Amino acid sequence: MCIGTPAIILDVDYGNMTATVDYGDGVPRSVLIGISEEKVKRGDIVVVHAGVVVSRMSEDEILEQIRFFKEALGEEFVSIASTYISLLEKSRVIKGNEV
Amino acid sequence: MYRSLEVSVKLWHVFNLLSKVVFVVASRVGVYLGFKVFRELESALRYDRELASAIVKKIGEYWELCRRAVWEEKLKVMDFCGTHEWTITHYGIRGLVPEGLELVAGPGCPVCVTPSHYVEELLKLALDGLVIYAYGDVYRLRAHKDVRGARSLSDARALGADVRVVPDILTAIRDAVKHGKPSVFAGIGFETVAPGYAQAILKAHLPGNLKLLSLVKLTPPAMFYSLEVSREKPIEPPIMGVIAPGHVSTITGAKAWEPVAENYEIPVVVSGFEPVDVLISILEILKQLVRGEHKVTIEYVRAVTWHGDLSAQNSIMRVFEVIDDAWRGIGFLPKSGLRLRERYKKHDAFYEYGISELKAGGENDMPAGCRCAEIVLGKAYPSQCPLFLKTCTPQKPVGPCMVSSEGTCAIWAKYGSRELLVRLAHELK
Repeated sequence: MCIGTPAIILDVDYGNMTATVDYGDGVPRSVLIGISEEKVKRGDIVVVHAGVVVSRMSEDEILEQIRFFKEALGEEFVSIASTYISLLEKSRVIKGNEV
Repeated sequence: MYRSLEVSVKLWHVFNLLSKVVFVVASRVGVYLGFKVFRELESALRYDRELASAIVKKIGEYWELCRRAVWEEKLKVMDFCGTHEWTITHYGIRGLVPEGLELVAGPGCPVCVTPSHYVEELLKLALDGLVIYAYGDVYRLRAHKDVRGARSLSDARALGADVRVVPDILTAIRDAVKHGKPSVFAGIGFETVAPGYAQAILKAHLPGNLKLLSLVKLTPPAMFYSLEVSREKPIEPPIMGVIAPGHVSTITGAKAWEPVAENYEIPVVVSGFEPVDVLISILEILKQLVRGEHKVTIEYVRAVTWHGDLSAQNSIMRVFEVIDDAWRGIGFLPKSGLRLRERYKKHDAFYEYGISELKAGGENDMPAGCRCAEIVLGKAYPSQCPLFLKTCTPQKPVGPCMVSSEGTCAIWAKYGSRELLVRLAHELK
């Protein structure tokens, strides 16, 4: 039993350790927060398994992943990595204007 | 003048509303752009053939070096998660890796290893009138013994029992609150579900009428056992690498597998679930074997850390105690199961309904001829079971390995045409 689905956090109820997420279809659904609540805030991308948030997979983590691939695979991956890094930068700038 | 003031006030409200909408949309765009990037990364890991081919080529190169380094012509790499087995089978990864590198499935399916005894207990409760909440595959899981005409929860429902299939415990909770009738949630799963169950208890989500039947199992003891068992048969290719479960590791941390790497001196790679993730993990294993290393490496760095989530580990330890638990077809494994602690007995179905635990030395609870127990340990392939795709099919499963979507037999039956052809060719030789 390992299958997990990525989702975005729309809202968090820290007192009850539940959150409302969107799996990408626009329908808000409730989940339990299984991990530390500091890792979960509105806008974070998380992995949900059987209705439980088990991991955060936001920008920092994605960059980590890209870095790992670059180390493990070398030049083959560089071209693909640059596309994601530039998109992530754009996303950061837009999110940065949020607060 | 009064009218123009009214108009300008209205205009101001409209402008205010519009700016709020723009703000919300822009911030959502930022959030969704981040999600879009993430989706594209996952998409590349699933569909990028150039990337996959580059990795497969590297695997071929390292395989040649590896064979010379470890003095083996054949070796096995074992996965411990039904979803990894699914990815390997569905994307035809066995066809991409070199001949001699065998990818074999280990115990990665919690439904497959839940003893029949607990299914029988659930059937009794269902037929006694309780509302039973179960995951989809638990619903079809067949017990070894007939209980008042029912062999599975789906049979029980056909006989009039109130059995409800739910995707998660929160759905069960919300439903139970609505009707208030005595209910039990069949809490099957590995460490990945445990923090959710723990939060349901710690944050008092469980209503008084819904009790938890904790049947959670722990993966590391199963990994140890499978590797021990594989050493008993020296004629088989040795297991020289492990693809460790990705989502269990988000909770336990990659550190949970360190005793395995140290004791058995084999590389362990915590892998993601996209096909490229698995290919890179296989490459990592071969690289380590060539360098003579046996470490735990995380490939799935976007979701897994070395320590895992300490908060989750804490809540699990607060709510649950570790017990020696029975694994269907295998027997008792020390410190391999979770039960609710004494102080939470008011939520415990074991306590509330006097459900008995399985005693050691119980009889074999697999159907006659079914080789699920061996398949779960990687000692046999589904095609080697006499019932496979003859009497035991995904539509009418006999053994547990065929019932669950994470079961090796179900996966091979639905997606493993290549696997079946290869095994057939092997047997005909």
